Amino acid sequence: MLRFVLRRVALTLPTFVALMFVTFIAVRLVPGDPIEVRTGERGIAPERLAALRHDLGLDQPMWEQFLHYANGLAHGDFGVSIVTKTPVLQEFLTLFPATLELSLCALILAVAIGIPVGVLAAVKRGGLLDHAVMAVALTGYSMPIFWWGLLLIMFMSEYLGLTPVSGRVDLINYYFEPVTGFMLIDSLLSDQEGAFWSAVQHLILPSIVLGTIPLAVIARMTRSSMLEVLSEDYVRTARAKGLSPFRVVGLHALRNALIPVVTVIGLQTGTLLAGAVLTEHIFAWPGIGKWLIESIARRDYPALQGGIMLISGIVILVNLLVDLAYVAINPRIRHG
Amino acid sequence: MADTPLLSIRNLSVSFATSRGPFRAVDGVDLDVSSGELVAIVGESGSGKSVAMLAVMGLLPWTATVTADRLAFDGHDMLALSPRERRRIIGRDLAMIFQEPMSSLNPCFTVGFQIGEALKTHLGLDRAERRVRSIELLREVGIPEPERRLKAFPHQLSGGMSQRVMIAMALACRPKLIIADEPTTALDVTIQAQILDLLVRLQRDNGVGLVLITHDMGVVAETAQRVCVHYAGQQVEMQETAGLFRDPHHPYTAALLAALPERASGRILPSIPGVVPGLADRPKGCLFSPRCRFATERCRTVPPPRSGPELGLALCHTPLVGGVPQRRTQAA
Repeated sequence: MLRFVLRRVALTLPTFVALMFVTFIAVRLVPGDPIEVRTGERGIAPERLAALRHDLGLDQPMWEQFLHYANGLAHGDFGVSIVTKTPVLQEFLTLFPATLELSLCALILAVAIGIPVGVLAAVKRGGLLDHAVMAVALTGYSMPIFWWGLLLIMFMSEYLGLTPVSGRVDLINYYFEPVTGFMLIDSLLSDQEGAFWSAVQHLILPSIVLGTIPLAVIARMTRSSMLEVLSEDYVRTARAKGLSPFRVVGLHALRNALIPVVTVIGLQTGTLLAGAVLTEHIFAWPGIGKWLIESIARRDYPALQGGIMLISGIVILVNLLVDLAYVAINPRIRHG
Repeated sequence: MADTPLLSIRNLSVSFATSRGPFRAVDGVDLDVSSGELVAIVGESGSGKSVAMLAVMGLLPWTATVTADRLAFDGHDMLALSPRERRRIIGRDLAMIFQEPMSSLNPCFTVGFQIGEALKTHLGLDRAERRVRSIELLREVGIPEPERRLKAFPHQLSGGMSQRVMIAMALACRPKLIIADEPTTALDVTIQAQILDLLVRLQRDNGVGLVLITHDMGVVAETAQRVCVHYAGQQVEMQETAGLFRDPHHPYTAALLAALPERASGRILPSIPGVVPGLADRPKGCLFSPRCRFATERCRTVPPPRSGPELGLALCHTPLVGGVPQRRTQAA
C-alpha cells in the first residue's frame, strides 16, 4: 500500500515541472507587466520604471527569472505578492477555506442529488423520469456558469428575495474573527444568533451554481454505470435470494456501479476549482478564485504562479485520494 | 397432501417483447416435481429451459410476459403472489443455482457476507449464528478451511469453488426445491463431475427436490429420475429416465440420443441437421419438422397433438415406438 502511494506521488513530479514551466510562460505572455499596469495612463519616468523593474527582478533574462523561481519553489518558497507584499502561500491559505467551503458544499450537493437521481433513472430506464432526468442533466451540463449564476440571482434574490446576492455572511449585522476560515463553523462558534443561518443562506446560490455541472456529470455517469451493472449475473443472484429491491439496487448493484462514479467525482475537483473562479467572481465570494482574477488584473506574477501551482497540487492530491478510495471500494484491486 | 407435487406447472408460456414483435421463448410447458425428486430438463441452447425456470422464480425482466394455467409451488400460486410475498419464498424454500458461478457472485462482497444475507433476511439469524451456519454450509459443500474462506472475495476463488459457494448459498435456508441451471457448463471437465456428484449427494441426503437444467445427456442418465425434453420453447417429451433411454418416443429425443458418442456405432457421429427455428422462420406445423427424418406433409402444416403418458407425452403426429413411427389413430 505504501509503495503504491509513493509510486503515485513520484509520478506526479513531472506534471509539476511541466506545470511550473507553462504557468511561468503563460503569465508573462499577457501584455503589460505589474509596473505598467499600476502606473496606467499617467505614465512614468523611464528611469523610475527601470528602477522598479530592477527591484522586482523583471529586467533579468527570462531563463534566469525562471531558474530563480524554480529554485524558490523547490525550497517551498512561493514568492511574495507584488501588490500586497505578503507571502503568496500565506495569502492562499487565508483565502482557501472560503473556496474549500464553497466547493465542498457544491460537491456534497452534486453527490447527494446526482447519485440517487442517476440510480432512479437507471431503475426506471426508458420511463418519463429517466428522460426528464437526462434532459435536465444535459441542460445543466451545457449551462454557462456566468449566465446560470445571473439567472439565479435575478430570480431567487431579486424577484423572490429569498437569498442574499453576494458575500459569505451578512456583515452589517454580524461580525466575528475567523477561527477556522469556514464561515459555517465560525458563525456557530461566534454565538451570535442568526449568524449561522445567514452563512447558510449566502452559501445556497453559489453552491447550486458551482454544483450544477458536477451534478449533471455524476447523474449521467451513475445512470450508465447502473444500467450496466443491473444486467449482471450477480444482481440476478441477489434477486434470487429474495432480497428487497432496495437492497438489490442500493447495495449489490450500487456498490459495483460506484467504482467509475468515484473516479468521475475525483476528476470533477478540477471542474469545481475552475468553476469556483467564475462563481466567486459572480457572488463576490472572497476565495481563491476571486483572488486569482484580481491577480491577473494586477499582473501579480508571483501570486498567479503560486496560486495556480497550489490549485494544481490540490487537484492532483484529490485524484490520488480517489485512487485510494477506489482501492477501498473495489476488492479486486486491493488483493490484486 | 402427499400426492400434491411440490412444483406444478401447466401450460406455461413466456413471450418477450422484441422490436420485431413478440417472441415466444417458452410455449406450453408442463412439469410436476415432487419433494425429493430429481427431474432433468434437457434441450439445446435457446430451447427455453432456463427461461421457463426463471419464470417460476419470477426473475425475468419486465419485457417478458408469463402466462400459465397453473404455476404452483408448495401450495402457493406463484403468478398471483405479490412481489413481497414471492420474495418470502424465493431464496428460502425455492433456490436457484446459475450457470456462470464466476459472474454470479458479487465481486464487491465477501463469501461470508453473501451466504449470510439469505440467513439474515429469511431466518433472522444474528451475526454469530450466521457465521456458524455459513461455516457449516461451506464444509457441507466441500470447501476446505471454511473459516478462512468466509473472508475471501469471489475473485480469489476458482470456478469450481465459486459454484460450491453458490450451492452453499442455495442450501442456506434448507430449501424444498433447488433449480440448477446448467450448474456445470462453465466449469472445467474435471470439476464438472465433482460438482454434479456434490449436488446429487446433497439432494439425496437432504430430501430436496431438484430441477437440473442441462444439455448433457450423460448427466441426465446418471442422475435424473425423470426427464423433460425441450425443443424451441416446447416440451416435446417427458419420461422416466430409464424409459427415455430405452425407447424414446419423440424423433428429436431419438436423434439426441443417437448423437451421443457412447451410443454411436459407426465411424461418423450422427448429428441433427439444421438449426433451431428462430423468430422469423418458425414452421407452421411441428417446430421440429424441418429437421425431422420422419416428417410428413401433415407434420409441416398441422401443429402436432400431445400423446398420452404411455408415449411419453410426445408432441408428435407420429410418435416412435422402438424407433418406428406409429400411425396415430385419427380422432377426426
